[in-house]
Amino acid sequence: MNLDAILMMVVTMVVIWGGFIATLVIAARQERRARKEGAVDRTGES
Amino acid sequence: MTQQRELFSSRWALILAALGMAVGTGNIWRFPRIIAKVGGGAFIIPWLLFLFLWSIPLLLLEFGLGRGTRKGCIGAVGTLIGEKFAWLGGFVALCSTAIMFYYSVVTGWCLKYLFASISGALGEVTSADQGLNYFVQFSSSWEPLLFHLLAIGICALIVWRGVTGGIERANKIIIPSLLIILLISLWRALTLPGAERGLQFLFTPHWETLLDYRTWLEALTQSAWSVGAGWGLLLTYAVYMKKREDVTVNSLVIGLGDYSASLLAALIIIPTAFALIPAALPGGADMTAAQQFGETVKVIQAAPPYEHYNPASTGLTFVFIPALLNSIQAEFGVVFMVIFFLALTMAAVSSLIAMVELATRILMDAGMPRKKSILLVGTAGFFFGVPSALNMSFFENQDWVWGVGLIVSGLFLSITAIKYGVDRFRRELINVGPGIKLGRWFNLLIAVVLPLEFLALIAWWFYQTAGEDWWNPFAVANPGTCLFQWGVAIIFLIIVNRPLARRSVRGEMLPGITEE
Repeated sequence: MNLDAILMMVVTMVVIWGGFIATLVIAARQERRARKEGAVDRTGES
Repeated sequence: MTQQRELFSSRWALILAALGMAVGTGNIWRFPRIIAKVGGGAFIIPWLLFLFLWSIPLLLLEFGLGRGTRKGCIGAVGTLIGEKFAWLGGFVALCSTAIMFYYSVVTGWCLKYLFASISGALGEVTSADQGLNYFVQFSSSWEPLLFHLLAIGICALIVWRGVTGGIERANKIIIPSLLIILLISLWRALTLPGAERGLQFLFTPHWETLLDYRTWLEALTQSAWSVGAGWGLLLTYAVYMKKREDVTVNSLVIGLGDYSASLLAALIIIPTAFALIPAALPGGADMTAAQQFGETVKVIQAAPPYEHYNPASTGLTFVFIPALLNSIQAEFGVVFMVIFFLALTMAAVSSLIAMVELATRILMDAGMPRKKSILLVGTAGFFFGVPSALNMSFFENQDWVWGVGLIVSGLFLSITAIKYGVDRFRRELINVGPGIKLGRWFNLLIAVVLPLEFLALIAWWFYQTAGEDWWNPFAVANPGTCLFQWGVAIIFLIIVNRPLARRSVRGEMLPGITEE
């Protein structure tokens, strides 16, 4: 494989797969935070 | 009596359903074919650009419309900007429903090939000619009708079981299974001798292709087609989402998840083709490596002398894949054939489910009970799909007209937000609840960039085709047939707009339903 193709492959994979995994992690963190806040609300603690 | 609206049970359930909607044959069948046709690497640049400049902004609009109004396409647009503009949403719904008619036929093909690979019937296909004969015999028989009926029937049954019991449960099985299957197939494809030539073809950028308008039109169509942006499908699923979810992150997950599946599919199909096609060609074994590379490129681009292997753009998937995978039979080629067509079928079914739900939602908004709506959609889906199941030219025409129609659908959603006030749309319908807040740049994207993308592509496309037979409304694929069919659709929608909008906007179909 030539260098152009290798570079294009790496950049494409990092942007698409890396981006997908990063957004999944952000969504998971948001859900964990929302659950924690929900639990705090239910116990009446601030 | 009041009744709670059925919602997805969690954010992950919505994301899986939306990924199911987005990941379809557009990823596994269409993307590798298009990237091969356009010439590899450089195509990735406009394709990625359109994810952020077209598909994700439209996903955000759809989330805002569905969650904000709790209505399908027609009701959502009518509620937001007035009943007299509801036909804009009507076009979006009609475009997706027209796609459903022939997409069910495609799902039927996938089912047929899945059954044929399990039964061993595809095991007899060992050359491209035999692959072509098999497809031609199948497509010119009554079988596509039977499998089209089976496809629309399965999806209607899933939708019949409800949002959580049907759509959510099906996608919770389909999407993780699909990921596992694609990863197994990726391992098999990349370990084939000669697979690296496929990677080289796939990623080598030919920059001159960026000067061709077709590269950009294909990239935009591929992005819109594959992600499902502007179809109204996500808008329909957003009707059933919980209120306080970050739709910006959801849109990014869906868009990038869909692109991830496309990339996986291309990494499976193109290297498999480059590894196995040379041996399948007459005299292929005696060719030099450079000749084998050149001939393989011609085959996957369906260029002369191999264009006859590509009826209705099916060549790579339905003609060559069975022959190619049979050539590695000693190494469980049949198993991989079953796995490949299972993946294709699951992807198609999960997308068809969303299309059936979209049409069902429209009828429900207009006052019809859910189960009656599903029966009507299933029946109409079968009958209106019959011409595509029986006639390849009709199928190709519909694929062209409504595939490109998605660009018009995107424009209509953009016009809806502009009419409502993009800044107001962003504040009231997107930046709701916790999470990432979109800035004012989003206004520019919707009010200026999206319409400009539409105008530039349509103008460029018309300019390039002027002087040919571009006006003929009965051609298989040209601007004339698009303008004719879009025109008929829009005139029809404007005529029926008043009664349809009134019922959809006022929600006469949903007596007693309360917000969660």
